Amino acid sequence: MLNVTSISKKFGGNQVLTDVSIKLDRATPITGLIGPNGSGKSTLFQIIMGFCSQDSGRVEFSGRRLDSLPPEKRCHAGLSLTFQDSRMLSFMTVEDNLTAIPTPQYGESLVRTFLFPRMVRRQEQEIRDKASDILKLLSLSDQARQPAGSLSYGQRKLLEIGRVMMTDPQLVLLDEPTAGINPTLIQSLVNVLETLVDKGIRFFLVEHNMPLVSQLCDRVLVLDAGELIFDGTAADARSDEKVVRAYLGSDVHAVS
Amino acid sequence: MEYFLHISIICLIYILFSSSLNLELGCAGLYNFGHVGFFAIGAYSSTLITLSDYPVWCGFLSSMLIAGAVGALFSWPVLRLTGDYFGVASLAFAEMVRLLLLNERWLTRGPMGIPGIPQIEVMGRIDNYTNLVVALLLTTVSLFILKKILSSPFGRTLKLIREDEHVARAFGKNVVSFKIRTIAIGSAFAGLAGAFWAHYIGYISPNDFTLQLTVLVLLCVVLGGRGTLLGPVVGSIIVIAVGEGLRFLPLPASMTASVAHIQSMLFGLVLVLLMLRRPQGIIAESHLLQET
Repeated sequence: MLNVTSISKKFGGNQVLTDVSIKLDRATPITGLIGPNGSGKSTLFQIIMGFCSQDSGRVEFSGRRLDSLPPEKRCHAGLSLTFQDSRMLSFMTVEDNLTAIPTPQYGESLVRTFLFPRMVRRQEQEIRDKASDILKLLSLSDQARQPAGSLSYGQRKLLEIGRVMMTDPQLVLLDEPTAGINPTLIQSLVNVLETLVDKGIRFFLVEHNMPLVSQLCDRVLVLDAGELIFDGTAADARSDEKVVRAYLGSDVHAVS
Repeated sequence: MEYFLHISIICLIYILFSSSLNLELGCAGLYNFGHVGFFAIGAYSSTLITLSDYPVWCGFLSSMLIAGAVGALFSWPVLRLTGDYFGVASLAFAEMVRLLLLNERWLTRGPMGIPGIPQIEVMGRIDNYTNLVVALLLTTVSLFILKKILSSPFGRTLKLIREDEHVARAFGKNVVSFKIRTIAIGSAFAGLAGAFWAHYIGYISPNDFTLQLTVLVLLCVVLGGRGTLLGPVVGSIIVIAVGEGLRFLPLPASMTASVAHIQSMLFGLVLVLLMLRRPQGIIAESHLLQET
C-alpha cells in the first residue's frame, strides 16, 4: 500500500532522516512508529504527506509515485494526516470543523451554488447527517454549535479523528493522537480507531504511549537519529538491544 | 439634505468596497493591501467605456469583469507567496496600477485625470436621489450575493483555509484555486464600487487611489469585525460618520486646514488600538458563533 524507499532529509547541517525505507501493506491494520524525540518521525510523516520534500528517495502509494504531488493530491490518492499539535479551526463551530472537510463538495463551486442550489442543499444535508453521526460517536453532539476553540485538548484530538472520518482515506498518518489526553478519552479514541479499522481504514501511528502501541499495533517500526533500527512486533521491540538502548533506556523493566 | 444624501452615498460605496475586502481578508485570511488597485481599475474601466458612448450599466458590468479578471491574473503568481510576502506584493501591485494610470497619458490623461464622467441616469433623472437609489440597489444586491457565498460550502472552505491552510491541504482542498476565485470575486466587487464612485464623483485621477484609501477600507473591515457580513457595514458607517463628524469640531480657524491630517492620524490610532484591545472588531465572529 505505502512504499517509502531510501528517504533522506537534511535540515541545514542536521541529518534528520537517513536512507529510511518502509513498506506498509493492508494486512496490518495499525503500524506503529516509535522513537525518541527528534528521531525524525514527524518529518517522515510530513514527507509522506507532501508538506516537506525529501532530499532523496521516493514515496509510492497504491503503486503510484507521489513525490511530485502536493498534499491535496496525496489526500485524493487516499492518504490522510492528523497533526502532532492539535490544529483546531477555533473560529468555526465543532460541526463546521467536520462539514468543511469532505472534498469535493458541490457547493464549493459557485456556479453550482447559484445555479443548482437544490443539488447543493441535498449534498449538504448528507454531509451534515454524516457529521452528526460522527459527533454522536465522539460524544461531542452537545458541543456541535460551539466554537471548536472552546473544546478541551482531549476533545480537540477526538475532533481531529472525526475530521479523518469525514473523508474516506485508505491510510491515515496519526501523529501522536493521545498526547496530553486523559485515559478515558484515550479509550474513546481506541474505540473509534477500532471502528475505523473494521471499515477497512489502515493507520500509521506515531505514539509515545508504549502500552497503547503494544495494544494497537501488530507491527512496530523504530526510528533513532533518523535511521530505521527495528521492524517487528511490539513484544520483540521491548527486548531488542538497539531499541532498548535508543528509546526505552537501559533499564527495560522501568518502561515495560 | 444634499449633504446627507452625499454622505449616505459615500457610505454605501464604502460598504460595498469594504465588504469586497472582507471576503478576502475576513473570510480567506488574505491580507490584500492592494485592494485599492482594483477599485481604481473599476473606476477607470467604467469611465473609459462610458466615455466611448456605452451606457453606464455596461460600464458597471465591464468594470466588474475587468477588475475580476485582473484580480485572477494578479493572484495566479502572487499566491505562491504566503503571509507577509503576499501583503507586500499586493501593496506593490496597487502602486503599479497607480503609476500605470499616472504615466499612460494616452489612455488616462495621467495626473490631469479624467473629468466629465457620465452621471448615472435612471428614467431621465440625474440627481442625488437617483444616485442613492442605485447605490442602495447595487450594495444590497452585492451584499446578498456575498452573504450567499459566505454561507455556502465555498465560504466555509474559505474559513477552513483562513484557520489553517495545512489542514485544508491535508484534506484535499486546492487552496490556490480557492484563493484565486476569492480574489477574483473580491476584485470584481471592488471594481464595481470604484465604477460607481467614478460616475458619482464625475472626475478621477490616479492620486485618488493611494494607500490611504486602502488603510481606510481596512479600518472599516477591522473595526466592524472581520469575517462577518455585518462587520464591514457597521465599520463603514462608523468610519464615515467619525470622519465627517470631525468637520464640525469647533477647531480654531488656524487648524481647519489640518482636519484631513487629524482624520488620518485618528484613523491610524484607532487601527492600532483595535489591534491591541479588540482585534476581532465590534461584531466578533466568535460571538456570533456562540449565539447560534
